[in-house]
Amino acid sequence: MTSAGELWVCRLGTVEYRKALALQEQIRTARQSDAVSDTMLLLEHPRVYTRGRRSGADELTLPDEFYRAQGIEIVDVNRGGKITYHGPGQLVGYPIVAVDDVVQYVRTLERALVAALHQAGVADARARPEDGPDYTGVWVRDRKIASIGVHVQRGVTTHGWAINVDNDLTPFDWVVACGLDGVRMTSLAAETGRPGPLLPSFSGLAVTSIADALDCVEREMSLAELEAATATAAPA
Amino acid sequence: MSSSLTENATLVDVTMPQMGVSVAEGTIVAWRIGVGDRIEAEQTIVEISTDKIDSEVPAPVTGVLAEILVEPDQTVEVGTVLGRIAVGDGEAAPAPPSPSAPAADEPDAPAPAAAQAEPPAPAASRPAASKSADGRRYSPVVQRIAAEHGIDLASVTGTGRGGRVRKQDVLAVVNGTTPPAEAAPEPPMHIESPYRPDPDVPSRPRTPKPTPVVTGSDTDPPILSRMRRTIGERMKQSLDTAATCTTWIEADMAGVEAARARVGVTALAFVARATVETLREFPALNAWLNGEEYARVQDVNLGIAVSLGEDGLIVPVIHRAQELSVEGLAARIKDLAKRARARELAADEVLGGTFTITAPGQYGSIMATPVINQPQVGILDFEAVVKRPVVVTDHDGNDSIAIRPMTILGMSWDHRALDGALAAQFLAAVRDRLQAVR
Repeated sequence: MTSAGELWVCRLGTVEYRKALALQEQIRTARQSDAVSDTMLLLEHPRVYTRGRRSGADELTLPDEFYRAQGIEIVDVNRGGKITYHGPGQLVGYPIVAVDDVVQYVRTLERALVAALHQAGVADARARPEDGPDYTGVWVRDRKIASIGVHVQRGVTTHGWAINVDNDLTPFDWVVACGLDGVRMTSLAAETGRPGPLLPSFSGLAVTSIADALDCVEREMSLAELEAATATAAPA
Repeated sequence: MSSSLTENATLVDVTMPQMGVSVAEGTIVAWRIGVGDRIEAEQTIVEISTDKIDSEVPAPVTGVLAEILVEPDQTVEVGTVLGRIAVGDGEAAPAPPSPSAPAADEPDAPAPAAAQAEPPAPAASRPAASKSADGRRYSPVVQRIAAEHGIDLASVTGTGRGGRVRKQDVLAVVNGTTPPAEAAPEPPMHIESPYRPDPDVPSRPRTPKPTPVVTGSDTDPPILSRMRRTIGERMKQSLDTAATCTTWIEADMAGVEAARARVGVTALAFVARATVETLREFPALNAWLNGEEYARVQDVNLGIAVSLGEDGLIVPVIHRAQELSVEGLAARIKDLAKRARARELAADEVLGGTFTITAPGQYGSIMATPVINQPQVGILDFEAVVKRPVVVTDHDGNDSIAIRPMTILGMSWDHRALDGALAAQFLAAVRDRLQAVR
């Protein structure tokens, strides 16, 4: 392994969903061959609903034209799980890391995000593993503030977490988010009442907290540096 | 992982991997290839999901998928054989799955040989079982029990189909009893495995009166519904987590009995109101304890256990119960119970509880030791109100025996979060509030 114990953090700004997915897969290949260290992409997506393979037809409750009129793309993703929403103001992290125990890893992400939210002033943020896998993520009482979805291939993760910082929450009301009917979403802005933008300061807390939880030292990488490292590991 | 020789092809098992120490089972999401398709070692052959985490299972060897034993959406135990890959003429040994092993290390099995090997007919509904040296097939459960108790399976008489050794056969050897002598009717195929698709849970609660269920029939192995399994896991987890103690106190319900007749609400509503007020006075009990993380909660979000008859129970939550009067609480309890039984609760109506009341007293029971609803730290049990002879003292200090409607309030509490003195003070305060009702 190169640079053991480092978490390479790459801030990408706003990236289209499919483009980010392709980048994750490229880094995953490199991570599987140990060409890169554990890496986390930090980004925001333009407004998009992503549908998993197990998404029911009834999760999109309104006609497709409505969503298009709202400027929300609908992307079908080759993953399990249910429908979810991403949009500007929501901080998304895709850790591409080698893990032994995926359940422990998810619990670790939950703990890290809870710690970051506590520092950001959301004292009631908590994970609720006791309620079962449907409640994976971070909650403020009965409202969901962060979602987690993980995919593992040959010991390396893709996908990750999304935390509502100061995004518009109404698109969640237009679908049955996460397949849980009636779950209310909340955001850091809604919980603290602080004026935005909150994302730049919160992303620092989130990165530090996740690097700590994964027992890694964070190292900022530009996309160019990251791509240079992965290029050496391109599949034959 | 086991393999066996079939004609000129070796069959290599693809098993449900152990994805984490806490993971006991996984669900098939999708097979990437079909029976008869060729796959290279380390390529993803099947996608699985454990605790909503998706994983790709790599093929252990290069070969042709000979059979699929577990279909999508089925949930099976770790180690269960999901399918089998037919490998050439046996020269390619199964490689242990290694997350970072380069695929090129795998010796390529000769493809034509694999293709000539007649793949066994797909047997989707066959139980996951592997063949042993004695030529008999054993399910993973049977193998595990045998291994744990050092039993030679070849010596066990099988009472299953075609002499198959079933779980009860091994258990009979373990317990020193003999398997049932009478020839049982042919059991369904999945009889050895405790993991099977859930039976259809009736969408409506059946008659609340439990009817005796005839069990023990080989053709109808008893199986717990998903709800029962979930309740069982949560309760066990609670008992394993909390330092559970139970404290009881007696309360004279004469005032409540008179008031409920007048106001037209249940005694439970008065107990709920008294509990909510007392929780505001003792915030240590209106809290969540997650490991070392202990948080007192401002609002009282009161859970009320609602029986769903034979199916189980559910605990809808009255959020911000401190804002409600006795009448308001009574109305909310009635509404939530009705909708719980109709399976119409929204997800957030069963979430976020800070304290729970359970009231199974309508059958006349007087005491119980309830299990704490994690991560809460207390649960109050309200049972039957029964007329009893009790000693009462008048203003002049004279004692006499009177007939009073009494109840025993029990509270299970977590000794990690508080001590018995506080629990007793809390219960005494609830009692005093109830006895002050006029």
